[in-house]
Amino acid sequence: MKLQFSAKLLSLSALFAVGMTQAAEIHVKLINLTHGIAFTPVLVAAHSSDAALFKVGETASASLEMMAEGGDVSGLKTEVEAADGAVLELTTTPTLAGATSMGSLDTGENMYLSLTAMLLPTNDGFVGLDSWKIPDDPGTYTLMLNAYDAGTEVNDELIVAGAAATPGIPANPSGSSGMNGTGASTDEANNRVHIHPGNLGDTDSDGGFSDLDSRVHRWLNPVAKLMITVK
Amino acid sequence: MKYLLLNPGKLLLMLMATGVLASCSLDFGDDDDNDEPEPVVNQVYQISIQNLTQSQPLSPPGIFTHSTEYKLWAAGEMASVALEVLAEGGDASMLDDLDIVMQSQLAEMPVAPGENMSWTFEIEQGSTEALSIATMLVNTNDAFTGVTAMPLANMGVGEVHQQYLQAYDAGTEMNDESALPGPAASAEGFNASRSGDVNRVYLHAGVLTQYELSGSVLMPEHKFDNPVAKLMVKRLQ
Repeated sequence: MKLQFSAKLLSLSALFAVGMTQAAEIHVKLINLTHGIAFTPVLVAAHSSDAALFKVGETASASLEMMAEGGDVSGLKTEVEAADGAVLELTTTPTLAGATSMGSLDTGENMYLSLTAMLLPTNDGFVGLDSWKIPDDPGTYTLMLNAYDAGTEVNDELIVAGAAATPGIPANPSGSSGMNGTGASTDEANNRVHIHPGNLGDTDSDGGFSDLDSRVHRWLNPVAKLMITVK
Repeated sequence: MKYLLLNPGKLLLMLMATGVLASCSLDFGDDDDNDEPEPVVNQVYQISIQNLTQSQPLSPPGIFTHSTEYKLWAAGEMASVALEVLAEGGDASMLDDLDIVMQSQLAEMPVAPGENMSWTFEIEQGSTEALSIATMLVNTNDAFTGVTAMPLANMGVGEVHQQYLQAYDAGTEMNDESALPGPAASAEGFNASRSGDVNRVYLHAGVLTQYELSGSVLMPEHKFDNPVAKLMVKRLQ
C-alpha cells in the first residue's frame, strides 16, 4: 500500500517537473565577516527536504563532527550525494577573514540549500545554513549566517595539531596563536548542535587559560554573508 | 477568563460546559468527522521554544495573551517590577498577575540547553489577543528573552511562524555575574534595587566570565551569542 502511494507521488512530481521551472542553476557568493576567523573548505549542498547537513537542537552526525572538529567535508559530501543531492565545494583550502568566495551549482531538482565550514581557530565551531528553501523566482537573495557549535567537543581553546578526534584546535591559519594555555571551558553543557557561545581568548601568548587572542579571535553573529542568485 | 487554559483537564471541562464539544465525537482518532460542517471552534496554536545556548537554562517560561495595545517590555524603556522579577529571579508569576493578562500558562520546569518545550493555546474565534513569552537566562544577573505582543489572529490555519530570539538585559541589576539564581551560582534572584544599572531594557552585551571579571562565577561555556532561542508558533485550527 505504502509503496503504491509513493509511486503515485513520484509520477505526480514527474508530471509537475515537466510543467514547472526547476531552480536549476544558482550562483553563490560567501563573505567571511569576522575579524580573525578562517573558514575551512566550504561545502554547499542542494538537497531534498529529507536530507540535511545539520539540524540545530539535534546531536551532530559523525560526518558533521568530522567537519566541525577537523574541517573535513568528505563524509558530508558522500552523504549528500548518496541522497541524490548536488554538491559544490566552494573552496578547497582555508580562506581567511574578509575573504569572498564564489561558485555556481546546478541544484537539479533539489529544493533546499545548506552550507557548512569549520571556523578556525575553534574547537568545533562552524558557520552554517540549514535547509534554506531555494526560491522559484529568479533574483539575488541575501542571508546572514550564524556560528554554531557542534556540541561534540569541549571548547578548551587549546591549539593541538592532530586529527579530528584529538581534543583541541587542529590548526590556526588566522595567526596570533598563543601556547601553553591551561584550558578555557571545562564542560560541554549542550551536546547538541547549538549557537556557539563564542571564543573567549586571553592576552597571554605564552600561558593563560587560552591559546587564542581575545583581541583577534572573537566574533558576534552573524559571521558570514551569503548571496544566492537564482537564475 | 484569565485562567481559561490552566490545564488540559480543566480545558476539557470548560469546553464541555460551553458546549463546544457537545456536537462532536470525543474519539479524537476518528477522522471521518472532518467531513461534517465544522462546529464553532477556538483558534488553536502550538507554541514551542528551543534553547540554543550552550549553558544557559531558560527559567520556566511564562506564556501570556493580552490585548495588542500592551507590551510586557519595550527596548529603551524602564522594566516593570513584574519583568524585573522574571529577569532577575526567573519567576513569571508577577507577570501573570498583571491586569492586562487575559490567558496564561506558566511552565513548571526550565528549558535546558538544547531542549524544546511546547504548549497548546487557544483563543476565541475572532479574538485579537496577542502573544507574549518571557523567560530568564538563569546564569546571568538580569538577562531574559522572549517575544511580546506578537499578533496571533492573522495567522492562517496550518501557518507556521518561526522567529529567532535575542537576549535582552532588563537594566535592573548590575552584571556582577555572581548574584544570580542559576546553577552556576545558586545565589540571589530578585532584588528590588536597581542601582548600578541603566534602568531601561536593552539588548544584552553578553557575559565576561571569571577570566575577565573579578568576582564572576561564570565560565566560558556560560557565554552566549544571539540568537539564544528559537520560537515556533503554528496555528493548528
